Amino acid sequence: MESAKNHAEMVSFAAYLPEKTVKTTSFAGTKDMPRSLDFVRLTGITSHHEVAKEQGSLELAVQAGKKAIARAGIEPDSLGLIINASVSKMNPNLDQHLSPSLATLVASELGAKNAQTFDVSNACAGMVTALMIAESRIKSGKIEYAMVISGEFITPIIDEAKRRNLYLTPRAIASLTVGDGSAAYILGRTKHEGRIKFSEPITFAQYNRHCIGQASKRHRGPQMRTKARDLQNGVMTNIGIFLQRSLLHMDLKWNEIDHTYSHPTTPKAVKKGAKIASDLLGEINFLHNDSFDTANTASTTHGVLLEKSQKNGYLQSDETAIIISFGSGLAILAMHFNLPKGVKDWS
Amino acid sequence: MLSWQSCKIKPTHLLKSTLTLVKETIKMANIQLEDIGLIVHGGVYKEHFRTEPAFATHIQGDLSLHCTQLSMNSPHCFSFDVTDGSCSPHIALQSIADLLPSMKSKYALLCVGDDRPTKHSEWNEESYCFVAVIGMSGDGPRLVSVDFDDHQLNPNLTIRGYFDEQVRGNKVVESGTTTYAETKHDGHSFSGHQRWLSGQHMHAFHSVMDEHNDTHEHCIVDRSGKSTTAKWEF
Repeated sequence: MESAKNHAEMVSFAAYLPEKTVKTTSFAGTKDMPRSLDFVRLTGITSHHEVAKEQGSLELAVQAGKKAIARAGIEPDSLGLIINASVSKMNPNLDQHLSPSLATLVASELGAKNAQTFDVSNACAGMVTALMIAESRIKSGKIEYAMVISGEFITPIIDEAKRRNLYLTPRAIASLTVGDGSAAYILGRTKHEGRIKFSEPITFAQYNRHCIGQASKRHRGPQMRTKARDLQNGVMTNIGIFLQRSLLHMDLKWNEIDHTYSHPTTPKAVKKGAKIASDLLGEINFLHNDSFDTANTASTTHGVLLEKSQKNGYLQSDETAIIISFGSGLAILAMHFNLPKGVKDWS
Repeated sequence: MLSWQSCKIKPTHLLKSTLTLVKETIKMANIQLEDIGLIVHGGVYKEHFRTEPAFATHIQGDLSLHCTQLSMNSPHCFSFDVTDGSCSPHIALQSIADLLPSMKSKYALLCVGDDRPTKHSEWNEESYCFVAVIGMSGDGPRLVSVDFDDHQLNPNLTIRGYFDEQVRGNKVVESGTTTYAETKHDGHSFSGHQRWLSGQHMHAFHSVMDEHNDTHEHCIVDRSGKSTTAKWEF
């Protein structure tokens, strides 16, 4: 529907995966795991991507950013806002970038000299949180284009977990489910209403100590400790009502959503959530649950899966997609949008 | 801004101090804790360089705010962090201004401050905690705009956390040197020292604002040269 007010739409998205792939069995084979656990069978993850030596969060993000700008057909200096949502923010030496925002460096690399820049931290839900802010800023008429970007150099937590005795530190096991990657979305101004909608964003803070990422106290780089089962229970307990509320809030019909993307902690976990959703709301038209070879790339997971779908020719202009986002904290929110014009033909 | 409070804090007392100030500011704003639907924290340094979850979720959790299972009508709260050097408080304010109008709840908490990340980190900073209740309407100062200026940005002036092999611990390291801008207060405008952390900027501006209600422009210049200016109307 056209209106006199400003609205926002998805103009482009892109993801980048570093070339190197690592098989899960090479670091989490049955011989490596407590009780000879079959980790591949348990998670459904067969491999992930890892950065090259010279790459960190910034370098990954810039790759996705350049691709998203090219696909949008805009100049970098037309971006009025860049929000970075990386959890990792690490350089190739495993130093953590603190200040100014990583988005400042991204803008500098992309030549986006007119963009306001800052970072949002909301764990794996950071990109969708940032997209909410970007959408609001476009609707206010203050800017025409906004980019939400993230580069996740997160695989050092695999090495950290491997150094720990996993029998004694079972909370490190979830660290074996991650991969590196980056994603970027560009939103633009439109007169057409309803091309992007957000659910109510919710934080279930009773789970705020179930997944903690921080610098390792013993050596260079980060660590993550997770009460994975309890956290997953938190999601599964609330996901049905959350989706029901979200459909009402966004005025959507479940059977009219063409593509569904959930945060893939593991493909197995997504299957569980999908079963709850299907039992409650009906069949899912197209669930994109193919993170088996990319693993959990933290905040960038939905972008990575969207890129895969695009490459596989599954996406058509003006079809609709919903992104369901979870992040430690425990944050849950969703975004529904019309796929950008020309998506099918992007290179 | 319906109410605000700030205090100087010990190097690792950010969460504890924030919770105390939240309770005071909510009382001052004459609302109930349950009325809060959004918490945004702005700052740079977190305990052990924590990357997830957002610090704001710890504030929400320790306040036991809407920490219940979801039902079709249950109220809820959303919490996240923003950061952009010492300009973080203005980014947090802007984010609240962006999101609050579309939320069911009409009140948000703005929380600002930094913790010394580790005992190995040199810490000559004065750390302040600042908390404000932001509402969609009320008698307090009204945020008119937040503008940014990156013309003085030097992207080589960065701060990183790194592991020092000699002390076997994580430290903070600053790259590059600069001459810091001093505190300025001329009539309607206030700008704090460029070396200050986020919380001190907010503490100092609101102390000035409490005394001179004609001061309605607050400029924060980050160490990197980036700056933001918040304009207030009384």
